[in-house]
Amino acid sequence: MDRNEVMAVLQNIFADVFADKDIRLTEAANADDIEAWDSLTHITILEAVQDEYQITFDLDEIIELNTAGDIVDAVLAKMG
Amino acid sequence: MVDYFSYPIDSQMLLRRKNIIKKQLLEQQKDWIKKRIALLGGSTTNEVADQMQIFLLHYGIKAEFYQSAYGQYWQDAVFGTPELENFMPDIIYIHTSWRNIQAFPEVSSAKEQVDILLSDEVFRFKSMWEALAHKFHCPLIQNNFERPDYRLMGNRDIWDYRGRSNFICRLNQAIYDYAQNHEDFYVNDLEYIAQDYGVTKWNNSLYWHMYGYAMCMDAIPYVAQSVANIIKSIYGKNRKLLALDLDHTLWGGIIGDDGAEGIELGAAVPKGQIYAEFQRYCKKLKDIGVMLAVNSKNEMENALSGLNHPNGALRLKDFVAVKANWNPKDQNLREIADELAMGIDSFVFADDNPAEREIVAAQLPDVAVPVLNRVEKYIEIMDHSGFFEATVLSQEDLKKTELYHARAEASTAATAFADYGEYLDSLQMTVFIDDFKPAYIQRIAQLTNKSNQFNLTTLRCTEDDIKKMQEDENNICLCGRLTDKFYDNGLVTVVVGSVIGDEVHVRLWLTSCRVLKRGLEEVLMNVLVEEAKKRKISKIIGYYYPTAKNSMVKDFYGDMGYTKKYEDASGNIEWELDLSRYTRKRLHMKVDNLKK
Repeated sequence: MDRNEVMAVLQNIFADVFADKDIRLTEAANADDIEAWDSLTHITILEAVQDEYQITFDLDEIIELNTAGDIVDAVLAKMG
Repeated sequence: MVDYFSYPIDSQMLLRRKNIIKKQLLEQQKDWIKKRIALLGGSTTNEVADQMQIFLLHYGIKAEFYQSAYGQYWQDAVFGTPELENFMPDIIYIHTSWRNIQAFPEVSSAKEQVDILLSDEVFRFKSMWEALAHKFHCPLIQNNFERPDYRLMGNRDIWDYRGRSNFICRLNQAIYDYAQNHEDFYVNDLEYIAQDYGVTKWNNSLYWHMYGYAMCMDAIPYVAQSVANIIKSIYGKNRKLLALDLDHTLWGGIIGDDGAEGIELGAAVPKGQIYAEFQRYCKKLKDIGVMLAVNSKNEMENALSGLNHPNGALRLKDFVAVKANWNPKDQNLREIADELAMGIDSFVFADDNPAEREIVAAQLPDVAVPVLNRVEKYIEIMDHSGFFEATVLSQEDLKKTELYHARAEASTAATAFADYGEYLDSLQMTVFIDDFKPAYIQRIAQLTNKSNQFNLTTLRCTEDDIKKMQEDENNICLCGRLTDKFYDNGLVTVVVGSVIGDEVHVRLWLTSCRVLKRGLEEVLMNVLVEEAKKRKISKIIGYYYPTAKNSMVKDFYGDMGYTKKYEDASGNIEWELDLSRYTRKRLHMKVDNLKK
């Protein structure tokens, strides 16, 4: 599994969560860049990522997840 | 649209795609019921409101929400806010959990102290309910309390007055006492939802400490569904009638083939026990005002003999309508709706057969079609679907079946089916035609001994008989295996014709009743005619020998374009087809002839 694959999955999740097929995600994207990305949708995104890969983020990890790139890092770390 | 709402609900997708789902639901043309719902929470409520919104849209209710500021349920209710007052809720939902209980007993507490603690807490809640009732005069939904995250004393926690678990039980009892004595007060059974979900997963404390949610995110759609069930019930959107298939739904086996003595029902075998239990469950639904109907592909006579089975709980008088015929099941449902003057959107259709479920779901999208795929799950599926949420129990409910009996008798209705051919096409069927290869012999012999309904001559054969038929060059032996998008139905039809001079005499023609009305007969007739033409035959002679069970094929040959040649006093009929006058039948499946 490489970064691009995870990024593509994340892109799909964002498209679902924001109901926007055309959403374009960059690694640096965070809640400040995407208007609808608030603390509530942040939870939904993290849930969807965990469901998708059947992994569980610890409390410590969740606190550190701010950008799309952070999420990709966390997935790659879990999936080995 | 993908079905996110049938049991088991797809919680993950409901969370992830809620905005897409909402959009799709709102695109429907519907007479929406519009309601304002005040959600007063002791924890974060955003996801609860979002999920409630889509479940309610699914039920035809367009809801607008007021949400109290975080944890302010009690203050909002007792002291009010201008926003809440202006909002004028139609319904109020108090979303509290064990996290909102103000004080729990200590291990050092005396019994009297705990009693005081309890009455204080009950008073705190009662004063809130009364303030809301006084101000808004609208239905109030209150969560009961679920089991907490730990049991300090282990098993003792549930029975000892100092245990948190015991305290919660007593608190819940006070809520139920209040509900018994107050109209417009409903309990959302959070305790059950949490147990059903799994209390430990439910109480994952990360969600409370990170986000202020009282339960894990994944559990929230289940909570929302439960509250939405109460709300749709209050606004008359409950389902009211359960239409039941018979074979493999109310008993095991096929009554037309196996006879009343051959079906699985009752204590003799495990499967029979399960069907009997499901019948008892359906009968109990009548007690809460649900009406029952039969919608089965069967001869009426056979259906009735099944409903008289000594081990069955359901009897003819339990049903407001009985459709046991060979019509499409959606047509039967339409007729029932017309006869009873009921909206078809209040119907649930229960059938083990995915093809039947599919046609009803496609033709009648307003009918609820639970996925009853395993008999041991029937009750679980029906119970969790929340079709018949009984917010109100009236005397009329208990008598509903009798009332509708009268109405049904007074009405007659006929409905034409829209397009059955299109339905058959949608099944994506392929039939594989072959002669009697050794691998098929056993199954063919079995079919000749088991099939009773679609069986023209009821010729019973041993495996040896079948082998001999195949070996005789004067025989045209055909069998067919049918696949569709759901199943490989296996070998389901057998035809044997013997050539005498320039005639073929059809000695055997049968089709398993699993696949009746699929258009298999037309395929076999085309193939038989082709085979006959190859042998320079000019006529096919068909026979019908009546039995107690095969009246459905009495006119089979006539329907296929044969002319009646002879009928004797006991009803044996001889039919004749002049091959030069045969028109090939239109087919709704692919034919793969392996014989060539």
